[in-house]
Amino acid sequence: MSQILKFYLNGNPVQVAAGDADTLLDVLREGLGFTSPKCGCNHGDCGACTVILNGYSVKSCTVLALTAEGKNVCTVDGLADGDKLHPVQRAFHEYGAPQCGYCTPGMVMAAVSFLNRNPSPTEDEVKEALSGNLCRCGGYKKYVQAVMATARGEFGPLPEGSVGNV
Amino acid sequence: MFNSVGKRVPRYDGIGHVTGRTQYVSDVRMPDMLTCKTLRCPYHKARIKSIDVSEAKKSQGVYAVITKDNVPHNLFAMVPDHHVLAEEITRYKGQNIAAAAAVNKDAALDALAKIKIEYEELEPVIDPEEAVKDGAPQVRPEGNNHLFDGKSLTRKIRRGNVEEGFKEADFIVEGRYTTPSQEHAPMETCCSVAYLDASGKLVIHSKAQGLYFAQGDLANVFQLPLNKLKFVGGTIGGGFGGMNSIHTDHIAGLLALATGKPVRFAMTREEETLFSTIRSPWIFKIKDGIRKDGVITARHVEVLHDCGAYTELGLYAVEKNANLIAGANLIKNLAVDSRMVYTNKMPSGSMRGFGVNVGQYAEQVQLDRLARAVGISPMEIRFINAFHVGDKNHTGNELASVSTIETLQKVAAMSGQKLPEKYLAMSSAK
Amino acid sequence: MIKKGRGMATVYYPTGFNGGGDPDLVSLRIKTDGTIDMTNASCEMGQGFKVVAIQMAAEALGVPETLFTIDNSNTDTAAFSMDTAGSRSTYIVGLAAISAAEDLTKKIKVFASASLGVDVSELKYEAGKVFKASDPNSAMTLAQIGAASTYGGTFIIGVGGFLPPPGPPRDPETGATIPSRSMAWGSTVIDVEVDDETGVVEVVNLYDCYDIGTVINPLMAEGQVDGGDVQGIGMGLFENLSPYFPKNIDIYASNYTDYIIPTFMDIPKHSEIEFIQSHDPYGPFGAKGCGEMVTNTQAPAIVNAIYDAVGVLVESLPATPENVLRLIDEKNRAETKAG
Repeated sequence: MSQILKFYLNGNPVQVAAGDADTLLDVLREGLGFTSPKCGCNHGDCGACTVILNGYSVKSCTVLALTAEGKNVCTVDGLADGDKLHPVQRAFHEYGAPQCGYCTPGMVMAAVSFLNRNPSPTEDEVKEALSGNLCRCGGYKKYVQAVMATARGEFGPLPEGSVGNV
Repeated sequence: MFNSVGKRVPRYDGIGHVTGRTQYVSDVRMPDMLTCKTLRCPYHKARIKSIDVSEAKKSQGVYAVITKDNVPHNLFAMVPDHHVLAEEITRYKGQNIAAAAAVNKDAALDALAKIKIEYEELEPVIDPEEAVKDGAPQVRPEGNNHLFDGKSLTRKIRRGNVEEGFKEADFIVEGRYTTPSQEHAPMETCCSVAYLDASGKLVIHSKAQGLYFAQGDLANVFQLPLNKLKFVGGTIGGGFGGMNSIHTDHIAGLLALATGKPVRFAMTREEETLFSTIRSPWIFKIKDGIRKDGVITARHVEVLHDCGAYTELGLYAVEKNANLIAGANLIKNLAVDSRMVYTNKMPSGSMRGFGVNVGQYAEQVQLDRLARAVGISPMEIRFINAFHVGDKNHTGNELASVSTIETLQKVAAMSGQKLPEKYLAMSSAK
Repeated sequence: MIKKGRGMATVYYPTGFNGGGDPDLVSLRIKTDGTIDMTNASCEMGQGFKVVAIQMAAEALGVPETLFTIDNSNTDTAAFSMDTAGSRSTYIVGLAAISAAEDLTKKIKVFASASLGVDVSELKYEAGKVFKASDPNSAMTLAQIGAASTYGGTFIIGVGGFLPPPGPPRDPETGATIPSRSMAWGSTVIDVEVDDETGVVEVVNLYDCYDIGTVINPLMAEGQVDGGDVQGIGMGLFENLSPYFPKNIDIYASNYTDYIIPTFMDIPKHSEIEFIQSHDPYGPFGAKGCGEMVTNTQAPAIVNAIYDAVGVLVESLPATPENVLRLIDEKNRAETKAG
């Protein structure tokens, strides 16, 4: 049975029909038409569907949609301030980290969520934090370099406040 | 010297990637779009004794159910021997038998469950070394062994005189190496969205690595002229060779033609991993002769490629493998005998390093074995046997731009290995 | 105990389809503001095809790459591409782009000769401008040509193509043929750590040196090499769809839980890439293919390094902990028996 689910998506209130077996990824992609979270495995293995839920990065294919009631969900669509990209987005682009790009929206959200908690990480900490996000093109090295560059402030200060925790 | 060439220009669609605006085939949605699911064979090999889709067609929410009888030309692929939907004898587990287009996934699956099908399970052959034997269960009516040039069991390379070369050798070293099945595992699973546009043209949003390649192949399946068939794509969530084979475009297209509605066929991760083309297994036997001074005097390589149930790109892989299996070494006396055999597994596709990196694994591990036999270092054996500019490689190509020696010198310096003066003084120029 | 080892491997790899004969076409169209639409239906799958194709067209026309858009999106509007495979796109699309640029400059000159009232032979094209050789101030820009031609009813579109010469038919007895005229080269050194109690192998250092001819875009080429390393590590250490094949084909990996591909935790702690200075006599601006070669050396280098570390030879890929441990046990048993 479906019911109406209400939550905040990138700061805006939304409502959408959701069944009790639907995942957050299902309602974002199929219900609301937000295709930036990708479906790579639908098992929580690959991280392509990573979004930020009340300040925590989650794999949206493993979150039942109805548990998001009243919560704040942030997808990569909500990161840029108009044309001004988030420092993580700029870093990924300029360091040439994304290749095919399919893992990228999830990778951006995992990195943003991580840097919010640990703004001055070591390389090992970055690898561990992002290790739930797979990239088959194998762009890992440049992703690590880009996160480290962001942490060094190469792309300006991180925006105030935790993303998705409006 | 150059203005644009050599610059670190960021990716053309990089902003789209980091903002999530890049659209992949799996993101394409259309109004009134149907979902496709397929019935896959549960056996490695079976005879379909009967199939009845009449109840399935009446299932709620279903617009079409198709079998081989609904395919205008039921053969596809680079070597067009693969069946779009199975004929009487199925050849591998997961082979598509029937397909349904319905209002949603559940309705499509319900319809497939109503197909009445009677199988006779047949004895398969899985092990390539069994499949080559006389009396092995037959994968295809033409026999299990591929006949090269229509007649030869082996694809040959012959250079110099191998027997003489072995006589020249101080050591004979033999090795056997195998590589397993690998999956391309792109992050985006294979997906198609097919529909008829306002002019009646069949449009297929495809994950194909070669849009024209797929178009040419499937024009034949659909029996459509190229002005009635348009492929859309060019931006995909990873290919690695897997998208040189067609997995969903053919069936989505047939269902769009059958229903007149947009049809989406997306493989799940499980379908992609279990039933798409793969890097298929290889077996290499290498016998080398080497002199005390480190010169390889002769090499005989026997290759067996397990092609799976249909040719797909397996034959191409065997050809390319044979040309390069002796590696980046000047070997004057060489014999290569490659075989390709069919088994009841998913077909051999192309995968990055296609046919070559499997051989390179065998060849480069064997090379270290040779070095140990002679008592020289891994660096030394590679310098001693390196190609130079103007050398002919193992298929008789004259080599123009050659760099084994230079890349060895550089990588030695990078990794902090001191090379003897004579290797530092070497150059690929003759 | 952790045992350290070093291994290496070399490779050479052809550019383009085996045996040649795989053409690509490119079109270049000037728009009314002087920007340029390029088309070719190769696939962008992360290798950086689009930016690399634009850089080569920009180089051939002597204009900035920012002037370009590229359409590879469908078979109705994008020029023919045989396929995106076999490390062919940079090389073949590049040569097709050079040919299309030559055609475009020729057509620009023909158009300008009418506008400027001089013979074509007196015109020069350079860096987005066409002018009388005797008078550089007479120049017409691409924008002027784009507007004047379009609104004047003349369609200026440069078209070109390239066909790698088809190799001679393979001799069935000797195998002699010409698979490719252009070969790329490389060497890799890998340091591993092997835990001889668990069989776990870690790649610690990785050094790659490649000759891919002229590097059109080092950022994209490094991405290819990084990815090749990661996939090579996967091939060497993890990936196997049916670990008990051929005895058992029904124990089968079906998703990323069972089919292990490398993660962030599996990349080398330290890795370096160098491209050596090189120029291919046939390739566009001296470039060769890159994408496939860079995933050849890792698996053998790892296996050679494992031998260096613990003295066991992995003759069947992948070198999973289970396989490595089994080999170490066999070796220990053999030594105990002998000793």
